[in-house]
Amino acid sequence: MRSWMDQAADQFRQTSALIAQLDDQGFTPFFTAPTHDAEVRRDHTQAIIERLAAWSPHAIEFPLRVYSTGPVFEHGTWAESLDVEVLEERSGDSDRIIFDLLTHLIAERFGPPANQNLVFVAGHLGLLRGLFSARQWSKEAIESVERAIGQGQYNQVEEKIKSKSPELLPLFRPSPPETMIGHLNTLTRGVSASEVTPMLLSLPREVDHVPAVLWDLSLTGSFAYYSGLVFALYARGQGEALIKGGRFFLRYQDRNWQGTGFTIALPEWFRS
Amino acid sequence: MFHYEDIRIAIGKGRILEQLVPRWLEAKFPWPLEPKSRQLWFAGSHQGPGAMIVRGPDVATLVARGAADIGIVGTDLVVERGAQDILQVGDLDLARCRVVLAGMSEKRPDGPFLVASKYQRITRDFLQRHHLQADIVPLSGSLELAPLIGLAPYIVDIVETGETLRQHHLIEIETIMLAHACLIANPAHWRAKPEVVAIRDRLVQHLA
Repeated sequence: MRSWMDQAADQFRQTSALIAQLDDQGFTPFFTAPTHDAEVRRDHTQAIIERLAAWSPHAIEFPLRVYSTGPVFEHGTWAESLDVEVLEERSGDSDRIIFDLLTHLIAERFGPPANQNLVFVAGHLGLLRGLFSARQWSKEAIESVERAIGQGQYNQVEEKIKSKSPELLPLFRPSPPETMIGHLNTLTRGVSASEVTPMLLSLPREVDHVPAVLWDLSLTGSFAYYSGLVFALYARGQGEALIKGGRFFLRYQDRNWQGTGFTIALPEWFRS
Repeated sequence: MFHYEDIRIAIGKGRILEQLVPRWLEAKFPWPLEPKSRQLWFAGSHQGPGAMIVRGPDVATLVARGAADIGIVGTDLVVERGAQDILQVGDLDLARCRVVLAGMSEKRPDGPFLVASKYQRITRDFLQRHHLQADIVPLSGSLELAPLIGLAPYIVDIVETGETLRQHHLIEIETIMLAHACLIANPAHWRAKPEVVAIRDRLVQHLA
């Protein structure tokens, strides 16, 4: 029992230290209930926005930097997590803040020297849609690929892409940014490559202390509200992502809510 | 050049394992277990991944939890469990079979009825799709007995040739789904270990 309690105490101390870092970076705690209307909390982002909607638009100062802690119910079990969100009024404010914070947290936890087991993977929903649209894929065909990705049916994703645009297949498995940029140069005529390429180039610098930064367009996030860049931080050998997040847009109670955020899976984060 | 020392593949016992081993060797991966060995695992080496031989329904759980990087399991079990926390990364031309509704006569049930099955989700979805009303009697095996002993007049079970059904005087009424072996992967390992993608490509090349 003692070792179990020691472990719990250690995890509590580490969580407190993580929260102190968020406080230092100007983030404020934002409490959400683990159950609401007979529904259990599966995701902090939705819970934060539901609570925020209680305020009128002019009462909220954007960009709003908040975090929420506590368990979420995922895949039939409760998982302790810490969720960080930057909500913005206009598109684009939140990415910078989130990447600065990510860099800070990763550096504090893992470096220097960089932890050689870490892998940061990014996907981009807008890019995925743009690449297919540029090849005259119908809206239904694009949706069917997105649906197959959402259901984890990579074999179907591969089949659908192979039959129509096989040249896009390498973009749907983890590849270094150079590979992605090489493909973009040849593939994104007519798509907003100018918007995406700088992001591809800068991402390895954005996430300092992570030796491997990969792109994979089959990473689209677990929730329907993800709308652009999505990302995950993995540690080789651990079967769950340490961090999952991305840019989101969702409409709730006739208001638009957008920003960028991420969730830290605390047991994974501390185990890594 | 990949190193496979820390790669583990969970393989479902039974039909899949029997049909897999020769094809595994064709893919030039080592299989150090003797035929009929009771050993349930072997470690990976620089030549090939390690393997764990487990019950079919456990394969996806081991993969989802990251205890195995890849799993080889029937699509029936993936559908039955739900695939929200794993990736289906390849279809294999192994262990082809069908999930069927069977009973003592070829007539489809009319009115509320009882059906025995180990596939509760697949059965529930089938009933819903066809606007049928039934209570499911959960059993984990020997389903063919259920109609014979009066437990439930219908069963939903997996069949390969249908011979076991015939031996128990049961008739296939409807095919609910076609099933075969597939490759599943843990999403984190898929993205963080390049060897996992490489093994998948090699297995699909030799086994699809």
